[in-house]
Amino acid sequence: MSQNHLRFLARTVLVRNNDIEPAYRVLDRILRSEKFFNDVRRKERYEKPFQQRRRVSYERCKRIYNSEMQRKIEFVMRKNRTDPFPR
Amino acid sequence: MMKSALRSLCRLHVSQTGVCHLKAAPVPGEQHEMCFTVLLLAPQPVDNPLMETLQAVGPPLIWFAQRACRLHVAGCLHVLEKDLPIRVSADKERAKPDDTLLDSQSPLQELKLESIFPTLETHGMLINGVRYDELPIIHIKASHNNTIITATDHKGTLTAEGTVGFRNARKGTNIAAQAAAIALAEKAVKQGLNLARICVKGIGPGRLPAVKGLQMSGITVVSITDTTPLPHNGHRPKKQRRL
Repeated sequence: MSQNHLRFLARTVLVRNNDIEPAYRVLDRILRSEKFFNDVRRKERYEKPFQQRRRVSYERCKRIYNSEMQRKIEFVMRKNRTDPFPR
Repeated sequence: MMKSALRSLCRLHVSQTGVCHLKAAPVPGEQHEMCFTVLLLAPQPVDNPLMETLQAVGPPLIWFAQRACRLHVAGCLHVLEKDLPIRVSADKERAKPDDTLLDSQSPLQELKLESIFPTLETHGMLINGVRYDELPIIHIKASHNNTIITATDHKGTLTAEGTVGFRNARKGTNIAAQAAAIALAEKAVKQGLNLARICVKGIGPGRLPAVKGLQMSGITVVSITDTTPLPHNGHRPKKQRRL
């Protein structure tokens, strides 16, 4: 274990005033956004190679679709132009 | 004595011009060696009385070589010993004067919460007079079918456990987890365990209720750590469930 992955250093939040709710939420949000829970759940059971291939390609498609869609939406919603009607 | 120490630690060549070549291994007898060149400012060894020169410059050179070796070898795997909770007490006994550079411990400070994320310094700070890394730990293992809670001190010696009479599928519910946490906390508080760090392991339904139950029944939670094991492709897991 390297220095930054020591226990009580990695995946750790300090609790202020014995108020666990916000601290727990921060920890939970980080782990969820890193897809840590999904990884743990996936590794409980063996994932066959064909499943893995399908999952990876599905994730890739989804990521591409989402980013492109995001780009389009941002383009359509763009508002801070000096001249909204250039032509 | 010094001669043997030098022999075990490093090989030294002093040239006539006062340039000193050191070959040293971080651990005596290790294959991996490093070379250093040191310019001696001491009187030059004209008649090559090697031993006399060594008498004069030996100890600082040994110190230098050790230090330099350690600096070189210390990669990401090197952990300061004061940061390892278990080694702290053992380390105090064999603290040597030449370790002062590494172990210059500043006086312990009270924990200040600037950020909610701990740093290495946090481990040496005090919470109600106890070092952070010597606080007792409460381990929560939340599996799908059960929640197991144990209280230990910082070395891992068991101090308390809680048992409640839920059976079969009801063990794996959030209510059971909370009840178990409260049962444990009662026992622990009787033994004087008020401050604790919490380690949560697993993704079962008892994750949050167990922490809440501990806090509700009078234990001051200092930190929450997630210790869920995630294999870097370890052994092959069980086959998929087929329903």
